[in-house]
Amino acid sequence: MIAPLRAVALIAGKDLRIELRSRVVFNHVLPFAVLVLILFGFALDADSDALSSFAPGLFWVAVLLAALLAIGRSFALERADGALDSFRLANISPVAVFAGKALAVFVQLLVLEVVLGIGIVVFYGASLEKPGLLVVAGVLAAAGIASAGTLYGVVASQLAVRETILPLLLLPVLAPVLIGATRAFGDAFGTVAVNGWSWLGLLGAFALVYTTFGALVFGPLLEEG
Amino acid sequence: MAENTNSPTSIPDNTSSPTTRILGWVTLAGLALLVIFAFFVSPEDSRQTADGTIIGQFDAVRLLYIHVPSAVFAYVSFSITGLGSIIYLWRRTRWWDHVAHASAEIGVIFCGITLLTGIIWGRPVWNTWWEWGDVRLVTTLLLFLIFVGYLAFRAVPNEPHRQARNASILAIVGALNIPVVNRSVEWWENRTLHQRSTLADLKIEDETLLTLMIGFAVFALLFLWLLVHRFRVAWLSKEAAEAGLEQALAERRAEASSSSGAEVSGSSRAEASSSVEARS
Amino acid sequence: MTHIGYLVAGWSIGLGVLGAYALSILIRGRKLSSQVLPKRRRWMTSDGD
Repeated sequence: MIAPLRAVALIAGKDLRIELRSRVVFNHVLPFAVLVLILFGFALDADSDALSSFAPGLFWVAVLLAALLAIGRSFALERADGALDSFRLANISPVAVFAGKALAVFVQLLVLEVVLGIGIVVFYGASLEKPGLLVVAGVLAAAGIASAGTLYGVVASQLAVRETILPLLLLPVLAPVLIGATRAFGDAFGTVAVNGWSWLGLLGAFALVYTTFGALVFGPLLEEG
Repeated sequence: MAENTNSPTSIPDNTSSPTTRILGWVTLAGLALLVIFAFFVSPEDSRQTADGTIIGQFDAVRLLYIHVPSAVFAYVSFSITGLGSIIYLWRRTRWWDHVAHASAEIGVIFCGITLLTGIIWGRPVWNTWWEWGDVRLVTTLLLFLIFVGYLAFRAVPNEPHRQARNASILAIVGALNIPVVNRSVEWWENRTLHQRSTLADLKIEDETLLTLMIGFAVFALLFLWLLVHRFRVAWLSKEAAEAGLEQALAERRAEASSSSGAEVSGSSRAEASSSVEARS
Repeated sequence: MTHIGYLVAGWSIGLGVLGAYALSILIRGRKLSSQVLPKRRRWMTSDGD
């Protein structure tokens, strides 16, 4: 049996290495997320005041939509040859599988956030006031999205209708992340007069709850019948 | 009513039993009583302020006699779904899985009625169809969507045990998420238009409280009736799926033995079916 | 009576949805009953499945 931490690193490394070679998230999901930002520009009639004041919310909607695709991709990797079953055959603990998959999604989300962050500065004219708050909120929210997404992603991946059911299952659950992260970013970009730091507790609690719960139930979710 | 000639026994061709039939008629009578009390017995909501102006919801308050009981029983339904799911994961008996599924479907119906009647009530009283700043409103909408997702998941064909287990996990995660959503929406807008619990209001008129109590009692009966019947439908659909599978297997076996003649008869089912595949 | 339109709309939607749902359960039950043998329709028994 492989040591749990090493298994986590192996699984996350495997997913990221596949991404570096196939570049599916980089070539498809990242441009899609930027496209969403541009669509918001058209939808809000290129009103630069509206765009800069709603920039934090639009940023997180774009992240959520892109995250759906990234999570779908993460489990598409495991579909061939019953790869998820082979983790069990290799006697790798389900907790490690969960943590490894979530870690790889987390890293990809961070890259997405950096690109989209530059996007809202360039396209929406958002001006950064509190970089520290921005970084912490971005990391905590990505952790919450990655763990909840991995939990729901494996449930959806076992169905023939995985692409259409994942958004329905996942997005209502991620609503608190959208609320908290938008508020924190609103403070970081100076668009709303709230104390953004107080929202980090919610984002952290969400990430903690879903990481714990995901690790607990991932074993049963991977089992046959 | 179509008579089924195959069942000369007393077992009916539907989901009714003498008890549920009585329960059903009592519920219908109760709903009629609730309508009479809501529209004609209970008073309109109005009171005089210190400076003499008359304020209140007036007759719009009559919508609350369907809105509040359905809201309460939506939450009861989802709690039973959560509880049933936990017991299912522990005991793994089909009974609890059916209870969780049935209760979730009824909860979605009640929750939908709560949202619709709330929207209709909000227009005259709050002067808006929808109020984003209201915690209970937004939480209830997300709860509704989470369980719509749960039902969608259950509607997708899947291996039965895996479906029951994963659905249980979804229900528990969904129910756990409710306090998180509630807190986050409250911090988000930090204001609520929602009526304080009417039961705790000392100024409530006697007939208003009585009508609300009738509403709760009638919805309890209605919930019970729906739960029993929906449970039986879930039971039957599992039985029907199994009966259909057995029939298909029997047909396939008959097909295999008739097409390959006497040489296959007596051999195992696996061989019989592989011989069919080889021929086709 | 004030708000009569809202009252009629709210109550008829509420009762209508409940009625339609109850009816759909009864119809589903009848359809499925005919596909299941009577001895497997005994309610509330758990065969430990």
